[in-house]
Amino acid sequence: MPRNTPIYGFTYQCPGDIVDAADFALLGGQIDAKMTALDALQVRMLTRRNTNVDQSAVGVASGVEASLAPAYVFPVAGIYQVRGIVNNPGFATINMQRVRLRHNVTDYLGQTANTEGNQGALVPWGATCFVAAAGDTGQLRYLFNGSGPVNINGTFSVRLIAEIR
Amino acid sequence: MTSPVVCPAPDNMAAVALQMQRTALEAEASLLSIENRLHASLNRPTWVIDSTANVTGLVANVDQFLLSGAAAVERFNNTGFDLDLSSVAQLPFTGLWQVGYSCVVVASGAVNDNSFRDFKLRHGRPFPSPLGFITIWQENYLLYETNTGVGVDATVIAEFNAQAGDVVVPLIQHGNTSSTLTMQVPMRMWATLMSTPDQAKVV
Repeated sequence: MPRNTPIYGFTYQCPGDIVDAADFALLGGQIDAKMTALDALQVRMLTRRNTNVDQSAVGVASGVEASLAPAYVFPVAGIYQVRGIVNNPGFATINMQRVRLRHNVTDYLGQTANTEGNQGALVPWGATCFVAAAGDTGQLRYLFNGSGPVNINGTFSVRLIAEIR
Repeated sequence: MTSPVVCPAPDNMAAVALQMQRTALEAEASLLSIENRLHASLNRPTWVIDSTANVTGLVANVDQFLLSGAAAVERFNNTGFDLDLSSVAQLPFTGLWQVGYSCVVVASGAVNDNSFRDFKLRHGRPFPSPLGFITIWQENYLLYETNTGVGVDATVIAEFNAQAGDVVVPLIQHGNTSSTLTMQVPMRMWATLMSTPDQAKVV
C-alpha cells in the first residue's frame, strides 16, 4: 500500500510493494507542483503589494466632506498599512483641514490641522491599518473650513504587511 | 551525503521503496523549511485592535490612557500570542516594531480655541513587575483645537526597538480647561514587527 508524507502528502511505496515508473512519476510531479507553488509564494514576497495612488476631487465646498477618486481596489485579502496626504491647494482663508482614510464605507481617523492665520502651518495626513478583503476599496476623505470651493489632490499609499489566507 | 541510486529489480524492490520513502520525506522537510521562511517574510507579525467604547472625562493637563481599561476588540492578530486587552498592549517579540494609533477627541462642553492636544505613544518595559513599567521612549504629536465643531483627529506612528514583552501605551494630555474631552470610537491601534535581531544589519 502506498503511503503519504505527513505535511504535503507526497506519495511513496513501502517495502513489499512493487515500485514502477508511474510511482516515481507521481512523486516527482507532486514535488514539482509544490516547488511551483513555492516559486509563486516567493514572487509574492519579492513583489509585495505596495503602491501609491493619486486621488483628487474638484469643487470641494467648505464644511462638506469629500471623497477623493479614483478609489484604490485592494487586490488580495490582507493587512495593509495605509497612509494618505493631500497637497495644500492654496486658500484665501483656511481655518482647518482634515484628512481621513475610508475603507469601503467606514472612515478611519487621520489628522486635523489647525491652520488659522497660517495656511502653510500644517498639511494634514493620516495613517492606519486596514483589514481588507480582495475587492475592498480605499480612498482619502477631505474636509476643510475656509473659503472655497477648492480642487484637492492627494496620495493614497498602501503597503501589504500580511496576507489573509 | 547522497544515497546510492538503486535501480529497481525483483531482488531489491524493498530497498528501492525505502529509497523512495527517504526521498519523499527529505523533499518535504526541505520544502517545508523554505515555505515557512517565505511565509514569515511575507506575513509580518501584526496585531490590530479597535476600541469599542468612548473614553470620557479626559481632564486637562494630565497624562491619560486612551485605551487601557477601555473596551477593545482584536481585529487581526497573527503573532500567535493572546493580547491582554484589559491591560496595556504588548509587543510579543524582540525586534524593531512599528506601532501606531489614530483617534479623534472632542470637547464635552466648552472649547478653548487653539488649546493644545498632545498625543503620545509610549514604549515601556515591565518593571519591577507586570503591574508597572519604565518608559524607554515616547513619541509625541502636538496639534491644536480648530474650534470648527469637528474635534481633533490625530495619528501617531513610531518605531520602537523592543524586547519581547515590552508594552506600548497611547496617551493624551490636553489644554482644554473649560471642559473634559471624549475620545470617540473607534480608536484603532496597530503594531507590526519590521525585523528581528537575527536579521542582518545594514551599516
